Parts: sequence; structure tokens; C-alpha cells
Amino acid sequence: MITKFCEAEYRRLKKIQNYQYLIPNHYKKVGIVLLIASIAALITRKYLFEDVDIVQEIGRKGMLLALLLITLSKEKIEDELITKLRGQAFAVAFIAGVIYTLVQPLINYLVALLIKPEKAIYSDLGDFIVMWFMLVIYLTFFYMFKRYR
Amino acid sequence: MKNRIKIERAILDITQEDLSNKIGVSRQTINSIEKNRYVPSTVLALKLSNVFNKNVNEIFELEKND
Repeated sequence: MITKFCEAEYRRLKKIQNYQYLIPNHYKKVGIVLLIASIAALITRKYLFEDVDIVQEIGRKGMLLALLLITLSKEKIEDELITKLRGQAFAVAFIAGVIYTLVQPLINYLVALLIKPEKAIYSDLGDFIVMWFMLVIYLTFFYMFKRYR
Repeated sequence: MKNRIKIERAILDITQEDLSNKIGVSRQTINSIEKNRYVPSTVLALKLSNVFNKNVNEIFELEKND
């Protein structure tokens, strides 16, 4: 009984481990179009409808989705070297994301203390900025690794 | 690890592009392997060995610090 349970768990684990999470290459173009549209929406909001929060929400979520589509879309030739570079870029992005989340609020607070001490308050980063940072770091390092492979 | 891919390619008179098409990787991957920047998997090494019709040991050689 326990052996069967362990085997089922092992199979489930292997299924997750071998899951092909990448999507076809043409989604990269979809991602780029969505990214440009999101940036355009955010810029338009800044200058035209500053009090419309929903545009900001849609723009931010759209930007994250666009970056995720670019991240997950396959290269034209997705070979084992690319898989290795992806893994390395994911590791860099993950570690950088954690360090950024820990350090950046402190830096913000210290800079605020120096400039306007009366208004300095410590606050954590938002989820959007952390996710955005990790995706951008991943893409930057992945394409740099790919370029100098 | 040293390798003789460039020499074996010259013997067969094929380009990096031809070799990459034969084993289903990108040309840059072949270049990285040739320049010793990337150590291929056993599967890829065996594919290369099939193309060159030589044992893996004849294509790849361990160095002292490996």
C-alpha cells in the first residue's frame, strides 16, 4: 500500500519535472505586441487619464503577461544548450529577485531619510515590481547568455 | 575536455551549419562545443559519433583537470 503510494508520488513528481512548459515560437511576437500595447496604455494613462486606475491595472497585468509569453516561448531551434542557458538565466533571475526584494526597500528608505527625513517611511516593494524585475532580469540574462554562448 | 570536431568536420568536408542540421541543434551550439565552451550531453556526443562514424572516445578526450 505504502509502496504504491510512493510510486504514484514518484510518477507525479516525474510528470512535473518533465512537463514541457514552453509554448511555440510565434507567441514571442504576440508577447512583443502585447508588451508594446501595455506600455502604450501606461504612458497614455500617465498623460491623459491619471485618475483611471483600471487602465493602470490592465497595463501592468498586460505587461506581466507579455513578458511571461516572451519568457516561455521557444527559440527557433530549442536545443540542449538553450535549455541549459534558460536554467542559468532562471537561477540568476530568482536569486536577483530575492536580493532585490530584501535590499531595495532599505535603499529606498535610506535615500528618503537623506532627502526628506520627515516623510521617510519603510515600505515593501509591490508584487508587480518584483515580478517585473524578475522577468526583465531573466530575459536580459537569457539573451546575453545566448549571444555569448 | 578536448575535442576533434573541427578536424572531423574537415575530413567530411561539412560546415558547422551542415553538422548542426544533421544532429538537430543550432549552428552556435556546434561552435560552442568546438571552442570547448560547452560540454555536450551523452546523447549529443553519440549523435556526433554517428555522423563521424567514430567512437565517442576518438572525438572527445579528457584533460588533466577534468
